[in-house]
Amino acid sequence: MGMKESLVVDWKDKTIEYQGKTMYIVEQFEFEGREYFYAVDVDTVESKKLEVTFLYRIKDDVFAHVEDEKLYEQLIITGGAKVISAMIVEDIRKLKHEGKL
Amino acid sequence: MEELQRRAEELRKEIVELEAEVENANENEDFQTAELLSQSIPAKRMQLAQLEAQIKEIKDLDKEIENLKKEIERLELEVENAREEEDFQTAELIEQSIPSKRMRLAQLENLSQDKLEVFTGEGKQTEFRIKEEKLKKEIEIAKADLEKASKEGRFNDEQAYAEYLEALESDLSDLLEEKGKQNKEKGKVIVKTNSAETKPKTKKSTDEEKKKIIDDVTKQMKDEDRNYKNINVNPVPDIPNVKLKGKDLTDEEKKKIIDDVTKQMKDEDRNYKNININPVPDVPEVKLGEDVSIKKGNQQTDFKPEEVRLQRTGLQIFRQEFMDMPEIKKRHTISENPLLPLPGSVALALATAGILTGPVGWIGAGTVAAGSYFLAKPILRAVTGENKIVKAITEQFNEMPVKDLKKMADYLSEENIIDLKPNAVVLKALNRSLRSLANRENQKLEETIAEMTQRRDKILAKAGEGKDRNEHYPFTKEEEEELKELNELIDINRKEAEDNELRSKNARRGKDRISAMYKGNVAGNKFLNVFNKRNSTTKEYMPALNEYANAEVMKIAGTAMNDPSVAAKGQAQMEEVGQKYTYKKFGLLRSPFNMKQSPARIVSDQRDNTIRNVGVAALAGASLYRTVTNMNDMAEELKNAQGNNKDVEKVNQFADQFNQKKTDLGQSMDNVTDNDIQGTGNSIVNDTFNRGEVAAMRGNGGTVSHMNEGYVADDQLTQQLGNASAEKVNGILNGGISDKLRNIGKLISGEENATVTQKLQDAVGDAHSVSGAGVDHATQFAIHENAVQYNQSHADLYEHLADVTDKAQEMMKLQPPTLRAKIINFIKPDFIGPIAAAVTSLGSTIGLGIKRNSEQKVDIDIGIEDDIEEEK
Repeated sequence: MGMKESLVVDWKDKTIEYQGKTMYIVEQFEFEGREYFYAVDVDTVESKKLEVTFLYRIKDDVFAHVEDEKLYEQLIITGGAKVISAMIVEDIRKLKHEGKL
Repeated sequence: MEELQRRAEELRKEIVELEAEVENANENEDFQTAELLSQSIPAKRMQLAQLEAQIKEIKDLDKEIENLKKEIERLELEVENAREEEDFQTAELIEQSIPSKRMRLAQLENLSQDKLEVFTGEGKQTEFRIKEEKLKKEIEIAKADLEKASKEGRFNDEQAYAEYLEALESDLSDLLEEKGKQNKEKGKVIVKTNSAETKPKTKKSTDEEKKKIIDDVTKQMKDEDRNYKNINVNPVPDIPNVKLKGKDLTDEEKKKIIDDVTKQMKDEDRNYKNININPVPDVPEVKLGEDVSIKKGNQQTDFKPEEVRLQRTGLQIFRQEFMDMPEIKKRHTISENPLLPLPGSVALALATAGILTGPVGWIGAGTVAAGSYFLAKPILRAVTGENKIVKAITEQFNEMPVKDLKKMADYLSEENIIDLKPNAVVLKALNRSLRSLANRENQKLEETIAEMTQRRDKILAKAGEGKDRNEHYPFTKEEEEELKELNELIDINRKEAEDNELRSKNARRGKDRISAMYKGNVAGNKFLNVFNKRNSTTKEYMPALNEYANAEVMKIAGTAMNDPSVAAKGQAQMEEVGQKYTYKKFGLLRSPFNMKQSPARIVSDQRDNTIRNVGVAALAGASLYRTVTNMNDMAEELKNAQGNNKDVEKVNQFADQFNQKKTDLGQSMDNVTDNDIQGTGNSIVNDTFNRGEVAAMRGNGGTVSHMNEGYVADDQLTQQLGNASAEKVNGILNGGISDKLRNIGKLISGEENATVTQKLQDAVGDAHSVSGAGVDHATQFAIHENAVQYNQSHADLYEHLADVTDKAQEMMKLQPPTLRAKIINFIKPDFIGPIAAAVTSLGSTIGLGIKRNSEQKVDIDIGIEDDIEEEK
């Protein structure tokens, strides 16, 4: 149970159960020396209001979520930049694969 | 010691004075007074006798300590002499005998100190002072370490140090509290009459004189910290001239008095009246003993109230048992924490015994190997009383009804142990109790199973024999039924035996998690992890557990009454209580409970494009929106300043706000760098080189050699392709980030530079000949497979992102407004167009339905809180 999660380093695109919700980890990034995971509540994807959260790891398989408002805002900006960068990176690879690059 | 002697002297004087008064009263024929006075004398004589016994005890101990010290000195001198004479063998032999003596010395000193403080209550003050000073020093060191770790950006260390600091401060505050209490309660006596016969406070005992004697004797009993066994209340020597109602006390009566007093002290020790247990909240009155019934319904109306039975859950049983346990204190789990300093004397003893390798007084994970920790543990357990309390709790569990014990054990699964964090001593005791239960029961179960199996085998052996049976129906009806029953019973018994084993295992695993031996807790940075607060004392834990269990009562009541609203309320209350007792300080966990942070379980590692894309759009949109909001705000501040450029204060205010927004914007700009792009480019080029080389190997019999012509030819091709790729990638690396973004956009839309493409094709020839044969670049291909389909809007997105970047860069060049300067190149906040378009593009790229109506208003349902309107 606990051992598997404690060995995982790359959490991107993993689906986890956290506090009774099923969360899909979209992106993983660092901010001020700590690693955060941008996660989306899978059950709200189809609805109008998407519920998102930023998680961070305490140890092994124990996580906590960010509640501080200010930190939350900062993470939105940092995380947003990260997903945009990730998108750019994927596009470059695709261009390369198509021979356009 | 002097204190004791002083008290003894005082008592002697008092007795003499009393005797004199009695004589006077007798002479004056005031026999009533004489009798009353004389009745208090025996008690004082008893006290005096006790004091004298205590003094003698201390003197004997001191004498032994003196002798031991002299012995050690003598031995050390002999060692020195032997060394001088170069007789190293003798020196070593003698030296080997010293550590054990030192240990004994330390023990005796400790014992003497303990006894003295018990007898006088004075030693405690000095002890407090020493502990307080030590803790304060340690707090200073921890603060310095924390600061250092924070400066150097070592997050894990910072977290660990912060938690350690918190633990130290908590210990200090506990110490101060105890000290304050000690000062208050000095001399106070808690007296309770024999509860079987009398009620406290109001009811007067018929044997009032007897009570008075008991009061006098127990007057010197202090609070729960005083172990009654240290006070010598064993059979008192002859109590002369004791009279009760004019008659001498018989031996039996004397013995009864002693027994009552002893029992009372034992009860006091167990019940620790100082702990404040909260009353039960507004819930139908229930008793948590046997299954009870509560009445439902309004008694004012005519309908008959329904009786429902409440279930007694594992948690309720656990709470009940916890209330009956002896008090668990910090020292009881000191052996679970290798970082707490040992009592000085023990540390010294261990050090001299060669167990510790670090500085005396500390066992630090950094300085001591796990081996020495193991060795120290048994000693710590004995010295701190942990063994004793574990034994007591184990006995308590053994005396529980088996059904209750099993229920409680089932409740204390690993997960609940993580949540509730019961003390390690409780879990140890539970493990032992369950272990012995398993051994007892399983033996019987095995016998039962064996017996049943035998019976079953007998029946099976008869299969097909006799006239009632044939090959289609080998057994009679009765036999078939019996077989079925036997099989079921065997399964049930087997399951029960397995469950017994499992319960014991769970308790042990839970205990391990909480103890220092959990691998997350020992060695390296993790030794400062949360476990110090995993073992709460009774005083810390009892209120939390009570509240939690009380909340559960509501839930149980609701379920029993088939009233989901009450059950839900109970559940909500439980969660609230859990949160209440999970509070953070210094950003780290500090509580009896563990509910805020939760374990996470991976349920899938498959990529899901839909969810991913929605998540990306939401975050990207929200981020862009906030970035642009910042830019807008900056422009607003400039505008306001221009409009109020005669008001110094206001201009300064706008300037401050402007600077703040600029800082924020700078932060978001820093996050969008071209490192990713460059990095991607490089890795693509490397992939190409690798792929080519491997393909070349396979194509030409696998020989990587420059003697192999085929390999050389392919290798050259690969080199050219690699170089061409590098050139192309470098091509987009020219210019600032916005240029790179534009270039990518053009490539996506097909507007790439034809010249460059031509160059590439000329240089390489047919690029496909060295494409990927036999190489598994799984990641790369997976990305390609999963990449979004391109359309024009995706290409436009890059254009818009580039625009945003340009604008942001312009904003970063702006200076804050001042009173005198005119704002010449005032930048209009017209970002709405590009950013709205960018977000829209993002949305449509990934297939979201984003409306864009004719008034240029954009509604985005996901991620953005407000509607974005274009300014006119």
